[in-house]
Amino acid sequence: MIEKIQKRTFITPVFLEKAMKDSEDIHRLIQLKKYETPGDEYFQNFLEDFKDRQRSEMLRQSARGLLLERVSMWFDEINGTRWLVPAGATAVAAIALGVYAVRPTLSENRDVSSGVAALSASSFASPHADYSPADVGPAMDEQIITLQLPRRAPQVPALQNANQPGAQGLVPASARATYREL
Amino acid sequence: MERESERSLLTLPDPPVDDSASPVGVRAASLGASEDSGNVMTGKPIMRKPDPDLDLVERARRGDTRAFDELVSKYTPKLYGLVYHMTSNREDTNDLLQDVFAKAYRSIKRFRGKSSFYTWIYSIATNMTLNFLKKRNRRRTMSLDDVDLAIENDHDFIEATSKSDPVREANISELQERLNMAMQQLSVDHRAVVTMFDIQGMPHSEISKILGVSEGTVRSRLFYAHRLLQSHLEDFRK
Repeated sequence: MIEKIQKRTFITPVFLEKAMKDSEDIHRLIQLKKYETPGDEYFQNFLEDFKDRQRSEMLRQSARGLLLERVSMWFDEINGTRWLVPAGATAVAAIALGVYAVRPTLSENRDVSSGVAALSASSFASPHADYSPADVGPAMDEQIITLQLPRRAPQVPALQNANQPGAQGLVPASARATYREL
Repeated sequence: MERESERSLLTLPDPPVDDSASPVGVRAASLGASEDSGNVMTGKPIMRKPDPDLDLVERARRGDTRAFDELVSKYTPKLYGLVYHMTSNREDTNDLLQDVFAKAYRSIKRFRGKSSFYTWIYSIATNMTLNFLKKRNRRRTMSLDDVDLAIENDHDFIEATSKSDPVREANISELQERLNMAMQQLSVDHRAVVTMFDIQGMPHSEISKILGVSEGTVRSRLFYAHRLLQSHLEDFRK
């Protein structure tokens, strides 16, 4: 065995012998450390100290700490079904992502329907009744305008005399053009 | 046969088998631990020695605190030796040892018996000590235990003091300090293998299981550590 290693590593027998002897010397010297001991009394009292410390730590530990410890231990204990943990975490993440993605659409629909309901209740009852877009929601301005189009008044009150020269009405000329387009 | 094959270039003589030579009796425990015996090449069936702590561990797993107390009492001296020789600080050793047993108590239900309880708890102690030492960095305050006077009857001590002037002239506490300083010069990984092999007398195979590295790695770390220790203790060796 030694010859094999010598051939492979080109180590001379003299070096090998010296290295082994040096190692043995160091081994003998270092092993004297085993005589460093705290004494029998320490070992006799250790168990009691350990129990005392455990009890005091139990008292110090918060309820949340205990819960976390229990949960982590429970996860650790399901050793055989360890694959369930990442699978479960992935499933929970997927569900959370799905809920997050669907929620704006649902709320949007809800807002539109509530906007329509608001219009039905207020604007349709009185064609000239004014309403505030803030009542419906800031994101619904576009829909409100679209919905407003078919039920606009045949004539804007301020433009009834718009064709008459000199009757400028209350609305400025630029605004009048806009209303005509409508 | 296995013992013989372990002696190669980088291997060192196996530690003394004599349990009485070691105050902590680690060798006895390591031999009692479940080890695979047998050889695939020779076709001998692989036998596994039963874990001597099996009964206590089973009882502890069922919630018998007295059984766990017995395990604590049994392994305190061995684990103390491991942690102390790696830290060279008895206060740190005491704190770490408390934490080791607390962790073992919390996770004993996870112990599946794939290794012996001895290997398992040694792994916990080693990992916690290595983590502690890596965090501690350069704060190396030594706080040493007393040296058992039985050292004066140790064959190696007598031999060393008879042939080495520095050892003869130095008193025991100086020798202790030099040895500890030399140990602290090693990296934590090297210190771990030196502690387990040279001081606690554990075989390479057991160390490799505890550290989770190959036996070759254990041997090379040991060889390198010895070379470093040689340079620090040169005057004591002659």
